[in-house]
Amino acid sequence: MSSGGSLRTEGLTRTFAGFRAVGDVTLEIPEGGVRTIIGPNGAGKTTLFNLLSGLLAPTAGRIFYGDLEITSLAPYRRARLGIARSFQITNIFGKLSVFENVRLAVAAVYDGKANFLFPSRSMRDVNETAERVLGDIGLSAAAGEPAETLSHGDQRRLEIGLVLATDPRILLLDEPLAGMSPTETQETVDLIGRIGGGRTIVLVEHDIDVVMRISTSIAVMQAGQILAIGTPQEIRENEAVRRAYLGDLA
Amino acid sequence: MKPDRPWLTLAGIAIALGLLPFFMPDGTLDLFPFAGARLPFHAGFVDLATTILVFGLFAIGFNLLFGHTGELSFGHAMFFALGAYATALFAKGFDVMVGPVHLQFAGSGNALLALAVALTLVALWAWLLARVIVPRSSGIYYSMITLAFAQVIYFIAFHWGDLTGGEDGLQGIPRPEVPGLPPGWLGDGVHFYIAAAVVAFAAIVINYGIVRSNFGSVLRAIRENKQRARFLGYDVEKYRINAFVLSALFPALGGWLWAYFQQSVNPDAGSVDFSGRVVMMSLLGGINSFAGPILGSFVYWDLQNRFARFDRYWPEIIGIVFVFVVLLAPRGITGAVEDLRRYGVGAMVRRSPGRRSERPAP
Amino acid sequence: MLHEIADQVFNGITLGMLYILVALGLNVILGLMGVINFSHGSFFMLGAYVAYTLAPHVGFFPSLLLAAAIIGVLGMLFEIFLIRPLYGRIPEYALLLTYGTALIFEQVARRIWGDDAVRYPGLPDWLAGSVNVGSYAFPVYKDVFLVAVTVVILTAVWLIINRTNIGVIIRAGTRDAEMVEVLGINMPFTFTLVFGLGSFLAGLAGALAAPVYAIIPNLASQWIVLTFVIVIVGGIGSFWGAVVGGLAIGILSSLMELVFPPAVELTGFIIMGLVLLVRPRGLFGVEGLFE
Repeated sequence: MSSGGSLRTEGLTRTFAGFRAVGDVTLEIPEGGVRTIIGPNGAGKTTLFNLLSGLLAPTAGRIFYGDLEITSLAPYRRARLGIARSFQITNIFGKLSVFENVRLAVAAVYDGKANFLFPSRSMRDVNETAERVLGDIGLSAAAGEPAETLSHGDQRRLEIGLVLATDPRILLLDEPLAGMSPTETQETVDLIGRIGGGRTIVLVEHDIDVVMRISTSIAVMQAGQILAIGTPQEIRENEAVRRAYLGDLA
Repeated sequence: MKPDRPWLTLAGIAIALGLLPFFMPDGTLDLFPFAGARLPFHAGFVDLATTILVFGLFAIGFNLLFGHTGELSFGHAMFFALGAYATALFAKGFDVMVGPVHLQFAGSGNALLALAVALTLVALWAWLLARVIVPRSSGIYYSMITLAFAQVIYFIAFHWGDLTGGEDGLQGIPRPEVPGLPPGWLGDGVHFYIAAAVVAFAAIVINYGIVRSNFGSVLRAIRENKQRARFLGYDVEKYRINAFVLSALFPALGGWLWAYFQQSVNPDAGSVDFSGRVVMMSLLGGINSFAGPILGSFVYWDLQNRFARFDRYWPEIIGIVFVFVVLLAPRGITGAVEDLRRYGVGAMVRRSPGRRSERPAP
Repeated sequence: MLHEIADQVFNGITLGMLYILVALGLNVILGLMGVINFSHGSFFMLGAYVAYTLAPHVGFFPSLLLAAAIIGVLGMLFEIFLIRPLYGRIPEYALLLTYGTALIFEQVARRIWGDDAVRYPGLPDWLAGSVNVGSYAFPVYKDVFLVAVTVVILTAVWLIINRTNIGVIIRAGTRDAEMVEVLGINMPFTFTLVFGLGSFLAGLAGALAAPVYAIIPNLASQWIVLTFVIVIVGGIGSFWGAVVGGLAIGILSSLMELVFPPAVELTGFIIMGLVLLVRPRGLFGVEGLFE
């Protein structure tokens, strides 16, 4: 399992036709732990996520991964470096089997070169790792099924599985609990707890209860800016945050 | 989808290739009825079988791109044409002025060298094109651009008479000699079929390897969800470019065979029509299956052969069949058979590939 | 020399006008519905043939309008029965199906009108002949009438797109089609209407072209690829892209006749190649529309 990586931004800004979705954000996400980003709708959380993962290019500012500047690095390169991202709207390979989904993720970071005439079947290491990951996320039973036939909750778990399978140092999870029932939520929280290890997990979530329970630190965003950063306790007691949320906190 | 016993499948294909000529209807094969005097060609059943193989190879290449990677190239005939013309010019030689430069070649009977030249030329052109097209487009935009570039090849073939023979093309390409076999051995239709079948089988084996390889599975991932493939760490653009180049080599091989088979080439080999037909063959056979392209070629030529004999306007029949397939049986024959076996008639339509829901934002 | 250049420029303008109409027709459909109609060229061809057939019976002008209208209606029926079933699928299937129908249309044309070129019966007196300005003679039909009609139609289409409610929907484009439907606007009906409009433009272009260009069954395949090129050059879904692209390619191809005749047909592709390298989405293209 990998150790965690750290992310740092300097003056990160992203505007869309005049609208500043993320404005001059300077943020440090240290190694390890669960770092959650919360905030009201439109605060810029998803945009920040998209900037960190490479889906969007910043209008201004820089992003660092440890000591390496990754500001203009393409998403696939970031993934190779160990920054993996899951999606809010389930983004799996629907027609392929569950096993194939995970196998592809494992193979992506395996050795960088696609073996040409080498039947994928005999890449033993990759297959074994894939099976292990499937076990970790509890989907071994559904291995042969087309991914699109899974229940919503299972698909969300596969979504996390894809991220996990690339053995990243940083996991960017975009609202992993979206649309889940209480049972599914608990299962997924457990899963996140299990896979953490020494990795850095950066989370965007709306479920404040869960956020309070599992986060090592929380960053609160509002109108494209960071309002406050701190431990769950500190955030709970923060005046500015209280005002922003008006009683949403426990 | 992937068969479990590769040797069985390959052996099955080898046997099918061996038996193919026996399934051909007797009679004439009038390939281009509306070209009038261009290519009247009367042949027995073996020649139809050879034609099926050639186009089957063409379709295999196309399907690598469409069925597996999910990209519809509507100009794949250009690779076929380039392969055919390269072979023809290599075999017959040429003598042209390109601006101030005088290019001259005496011609050579070495078929294998011709193949090497054809494949290299096609790979180069495909690679250059891919570098321009792939990073800048996808989806139907990609289809339109590939079609447009194919037309460039067509026009050059049509107009650069000094090199290509213009509208009439090049004739009189001698069949190559096979070392170890009596001279003129390939002159006989049956012998040529045997040679073609051996070549085709080799190509099919290679295609099989590609499809079942890690590379192939990444292509399918790209087809399903390009964006996710990127975020897993795959350099999607590089895979798409490589897929494009690879997919071009099969029609090039087909063109090479075609040049020696027909012993002539003309610009039709690079026409929109040709591109369109191979698309049809692929779809007819089933784009998500391995045997689909060859099966599609077989069905297409069988249909054309039958209808061309009694209906002057036979392309409309092909068109109607195609429309029917797209609307009602988009997974082609192999897909329909599979669905019928498993689910019954209604499922055929419902399980069409390429439902929009499975294609999230690229 | 100047005379020859001017001649070619005006030839190019005439050609360009037709290109604009056809490309705009395709663009309107492409922009709203994300569908490529490979049979668009067939509609152009049929417009020419229908106009040719009707002209001796109803006169020139009515045949022009009737032909365009008939093709417009044909387009709507086409959309309802053949395109609509494909909406749940990736757009490649529409391209495939319309390729199949293009084959059918060509053979139908051959059945009805034969394989050989047909000659338009002849223009009415007020359109034949030319107008003299200085030392130049402008053929009335090609340089005056055709251009005028095209400009009028283009203005009308522009007004529809920019000043009407339906135009708002068209401009909202494919991306927001679902959103618009949520707002209560009948999208299927709008799609049919737009498809009809696009086909109308193609048919009109064909009818306008009939008196001055040879009418043959493979007109469709000649024009469809060129239309694609214009759309790529101008930018998918763009009104001004169709105008600038069509005119530019029309004029430049005609001028190529004077420079290097064998490359006339290649002019459009050369321009396309250059545009792709510099502005991959076309001159007026919108980012992200089809990527």
